[in-house]
Order: sequence, then structure tokens, then C-alpha cells
Amino acid sequence: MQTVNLLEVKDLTVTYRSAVRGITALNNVSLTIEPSQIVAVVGESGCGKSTLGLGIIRLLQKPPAEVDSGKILFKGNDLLKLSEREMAGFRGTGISMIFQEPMSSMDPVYTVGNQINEAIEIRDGRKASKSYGPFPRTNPELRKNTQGGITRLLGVHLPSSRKEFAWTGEVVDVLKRVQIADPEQVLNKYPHELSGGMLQRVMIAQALVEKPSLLIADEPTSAVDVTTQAQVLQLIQELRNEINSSILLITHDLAVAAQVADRIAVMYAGELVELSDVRELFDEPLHPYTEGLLNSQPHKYREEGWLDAVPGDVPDLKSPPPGCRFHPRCKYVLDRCRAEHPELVEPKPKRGVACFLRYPR
Amino acid sequence: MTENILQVKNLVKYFPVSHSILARVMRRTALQVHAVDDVSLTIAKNETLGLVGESGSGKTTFGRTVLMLERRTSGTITFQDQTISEMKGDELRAFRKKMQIVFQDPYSSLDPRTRVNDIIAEPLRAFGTRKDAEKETVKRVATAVNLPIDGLSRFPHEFSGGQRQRIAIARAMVLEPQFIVLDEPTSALDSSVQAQILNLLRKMQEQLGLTYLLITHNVGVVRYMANRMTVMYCGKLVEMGSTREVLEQPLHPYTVALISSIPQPDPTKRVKTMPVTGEVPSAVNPPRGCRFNPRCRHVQDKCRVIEPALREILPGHWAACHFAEEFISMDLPPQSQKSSSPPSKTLPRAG
Repeated sequence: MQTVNLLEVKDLTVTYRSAVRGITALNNVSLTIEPSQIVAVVGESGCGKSTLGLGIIRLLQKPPAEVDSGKILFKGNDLLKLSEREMAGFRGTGISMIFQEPMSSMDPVYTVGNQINEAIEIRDGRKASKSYGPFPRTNPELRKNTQGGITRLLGVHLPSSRKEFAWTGEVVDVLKRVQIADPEQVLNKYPHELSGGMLQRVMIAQALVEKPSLLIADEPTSAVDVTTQAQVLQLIQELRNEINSSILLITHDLAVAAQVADRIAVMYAGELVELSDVRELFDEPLHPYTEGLLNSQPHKYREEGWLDAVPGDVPDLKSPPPGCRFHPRCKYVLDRCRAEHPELVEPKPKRGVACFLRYPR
Repeated sequence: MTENILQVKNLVKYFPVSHSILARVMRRTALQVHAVDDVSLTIAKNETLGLVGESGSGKTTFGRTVLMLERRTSGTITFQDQTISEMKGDELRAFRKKMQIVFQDPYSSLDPRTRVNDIIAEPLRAFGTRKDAEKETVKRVATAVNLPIDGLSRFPHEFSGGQRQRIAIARAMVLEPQFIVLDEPTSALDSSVQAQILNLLRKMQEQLGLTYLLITHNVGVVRYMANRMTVMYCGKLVEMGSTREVLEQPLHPYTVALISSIPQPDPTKRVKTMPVTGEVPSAVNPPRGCRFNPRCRHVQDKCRVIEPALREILPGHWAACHFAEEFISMDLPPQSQKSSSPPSKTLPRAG
């Protein structure tokens, strides 16, 4: 029995258009995600991996971005055909996203507690209340008076005394869940008062309460330190294990992908070049680019010789090379690669590769 | 005994935290960020010392203070047997020629309105090189770092990240320095380009007999580049030794946690448990005793009171932990046990 796919991206092409020219950021990309599967999209800057993530949740800025062709089937619905209002219904509990820079993706004028609470309200179908500042949105009685005895006696309101809100139940639980010490304190803080690692955990907490079927995590660990990264990756795995979310993990780091993913999609210059289960990819990379990426990781000691670096630079998508987009950097380049464009073929079940070297067709 | 090129003794760098005048009057001692707190180390000629730490550990401040780009709070810096920390003006300027730095972000460290050949030539002009010699030198250095010679009259924005970092390296090399601080030289680059730059830096070192202080958060980069490494945590050195020894037999609980946090590009070696919880403490108010004690698994009462000194536990292998000896025979987490040379992955040619 074939498992039903949660998400199917079919031949998605996205172009960023300007008055002068268009840049094809995604070129015929197809990808499927099964329920409770972690798929990692790996690639270097400008390969289109973030465009893919934003395209799925339909958060691409239009213009300049334009979806030229393709389908995005989520639980059988083509997301590209939905109205903006219908799409909003899918965001949050259907598809949720966490971003690379936690600092710039949280609202600076709400406390952390308020922002998590908003996610809960939306999940429960309530209308999110709109009030700025530290004030409670649900239960005003829970406000703590934190002013000291003397100021209360004098009836003076010092500008620094902050009205804090005793958050209850779910909001506190979820922060404990993502290992934030002292959640009652943290809930009343504003994003700028927390460290990057803490904020990233708050974002994961937000995703946890929404219980999305699909979580898109766009470079969730590249702004945090390595010890925090290990914690965040652990949380992402637990998210999958506990609420059976599927996760699309977008990363530039093969090692991060190796840690958590079930399947890996390697992208290069707007195209999918290799698709594979994680073990097979690391055991036997089929595409020369994947091989180059693996070999250029600094895994040796100094005295053990030189790294096998991929020559050249990531191509400029304004004028991508003809034929295979990797051919100017490929050490196995054939004449055919310079002229013809390789399509993704399926040499073995559950594997895909776009290369003429081993799989000419 | 190999010759030491740089010797740092008890280097301290505090930054004052600015406050309102009222707060300054009320408080007797002003708040300070303890960026670098009593750090001593030596770097031998022609070696690479890797300095690893998380953000906020003080590693960049240390690099800048060593080059006298920041005024130290106390301590001495000796470069080629001259105490440069006591020097001023012209005397110090002569030494600047021998010490250079490559910054982390090649997108912000190059002046966008200056042509590349002027960027590379600027250090030469600062030290009054003749015009004809200047052109020749710029060309030679640009060739050495694999920059396209015919593109030197262009501006930095026309170059990719990797090329820009080559420009920054050319600028650092043009005065033929002896000592270079590499401050996260590849962390802004793509991983396929990173390997090129690391190879270039090693090649330049071999050819020119350079000494590097490599500041990075990436342990993989240190493994590949450094002869010796040291680990910094919250302004203090916690461990120092040969790269292989520190990575294969770490003697400080923080180093153990750091190494086991690093994701391996191998799906069969996954990090199963959280290696360490919590975050790097505030450098304004560092914890009493050992600075790692609030996060340490092996913490004991002594750690909360007495600050451990950096001691030589094994020959050439130093650690700042009261119980470092107990780690010698301890089993390591599987992530840190690396096979000496992982099999290189190559494609079989299709028939």
C-alpha cells in the first residue's frame, strides 16, 4: 500500500521578475512529503531552498515573485488555487513556519506570552484580540501587581514598574516543554529581552501549540550557537514524535540534515539535483555536486592532507550556465552536460538524480 | 624548543556598561562586561592556534586586543620578544606591519566605493611604498590568492562572497606580515567555497611561513587548520592542547559538551541526548567559582566557590577544571570518537 502523501509539490517554477529580466529561482521542482516524515532541503545560498519553503506556505512577496507553473497539493487541496482567505485557514494548524532570524520574525511590541497566546487563540478558532503592550488578552484578573510596597502606598506609578500577567496552563506548559527555565518570568518579556536561542525555542513553542500537520523550518539553527543548535534539533525531532508533524527542514548544512532528516533533497541553482533517503545519500551520493559537498566538509585533521574543494562559485541565476547548471564546476563533466539539461530520473526506487554521468537518458 | 612569536600574559579586557549618571553615582563599581578575563597563551612560529568558543565567549575581543586594536585593561602582549602592549605611536606602527587581520564578513569589511586594486594597495600606501613597486606587489598577491587579474579595477559588489574573502586575504598578505588573526574567515561563506578558502590559507602559510590565530566557532574548521587549539568560555580559557588531543580526549566538561553538540555529516551518528542545557551566562555578571558550573553535569560544591586555574593535566594539554584528571579515563560520547580518516566518497564512473 502506498502511503498517502501529505504534501506534493509538482513541477513548481517560481520567477522573480523585474522590469529588465526574470530570475528563475525554482525550476520544475517536485517533492513529496509523507505524514510524520522529516525532509531536509539542502543547498547553498541562492539555490532556491527558501523560495521553496515560502512558496509552499504562499508567503512569497508578489511582485517580484511569480509562480509560473506547478501545483502544490496539501492533503489533496491545490494551495495555489485557493483564495487568500482560504489559504489563511491552512496556515497555523495546517502549515506552520519557523524562520531563521527569531529576532526579526517576532513582533517586538508584544510580550512572548501574548504571541504564544495568539497562536492558541487562532488554533481554537477564536478571534485573536488586538491589544498592544504587556496587557492580558484573555483574563485581566490574572494581572499581577508587581509594584513594590512603598510605591503602592504612595500611589505612584513609576515608569519602570511593569504590569505583569500571570499566564496559566497551556502557555506555561509549552514553554516548560521547550526547556525554558523560569517560564513565568519569560512570558512577560519582550523579544528583545531574550537571547537568540531562547527566542528560537519560543518560536518552536508557538509551532507546538498550533500542532501543524506540516512545519516548515527555514534554517532554524543557523543564527544560534552549536550547543543551542543541538537543543533545537532535538526539539524538532520531538515535535515530530509527539504530534506527528511532517517537517520540511531547510538548511545549508549537510551535517544538520544528517542529524534529523529521513529524506534529503539536494538543490543547486534553483533545481533539485538529488533526492534520497538519508542513509543512502551519505553512503553513496549519486550527483557530483552532492559528492563535492560531502567531501568539502572539513572532516580531516590538519596532518591528514588537503580537502577536496569544489572549484568555482555558486552560479549567478541572472545568467545560469547552459546545459547542466553544475557543469562548470563538475570534475566529471561530459560534452553532453554542456549542451543538454539533465532531468531528474529515478534510477532506483525512492531515489532521484539529475545527472548524465551515471544515468544518461 | 620552538620559537614563540607571540606571548600573551594575563590579558584582561573589560568593557564598561554605560549607564545614566545617576546609576554611576549610586553604584560604587561600574558594571563591566568581562570580555577577556586573565588569558595567557603563547603561539609558536609557523603554527596555527585555533581559538574556539560560542558567541559572546570573548574570542573576537581577544583577537582584536592582541593586535592592539582594542586598548587592553591589563596584561602584557609580547610579539617577537618586544612588549608591544607598552608601545605607542610610531614604535607600535612599525609592528602593525607584521600583524594583520582577516575579518569575518567580506560583505562589510571591504569599502564598497573603493576599487579592488586600491583596497589591496591601501596598506602599502600607508607604509609608503613606491608607486611602481606597488602595482607589481598588488598583482603578485592577487595572483597568489587566485583573483582574476583583469578584474582588479572593479568594485567589491561585483565579486562573490568567496572572491571577496580572497580580496580581504590579499589585503592582509600584501605587507608580508608574520602573524595573521583570522576572525571567522569562512563563516559567511557557502560550504563548497569554504573548503577553497581554507586550502588557500593553508597554502599561503606553507609558502610564506606565516603564523595564524584562527578564531572560529566551527570545530571542523579548527580540526582541519590548527596544530593546537584552545577553548574559550565566558572570557576564560578552559582547555588548551594539540588539536587531536583536545578533540579526542577533552578534559573539560564544556569541551565535552561542545564536541558532542557538533552534528556529524553522518546519519548513523546522531546526537541522541541533549549534550548540555541552558545558555552561555552573562559576561557582565559571570557565575562565581567555575564559570561553567551552572550548566555542568559533574558540578560539585567546590566548583561553585573556587575558580579553577588552567593546569597542565597531561604533557602539553591544559584544562581549567578541578576534576580534570577524572576525565582522562572516562568514556567519551560517541560523536567525538572520529575515525582518523573517513573514507572519501567518490563516484564510480559509469560504463
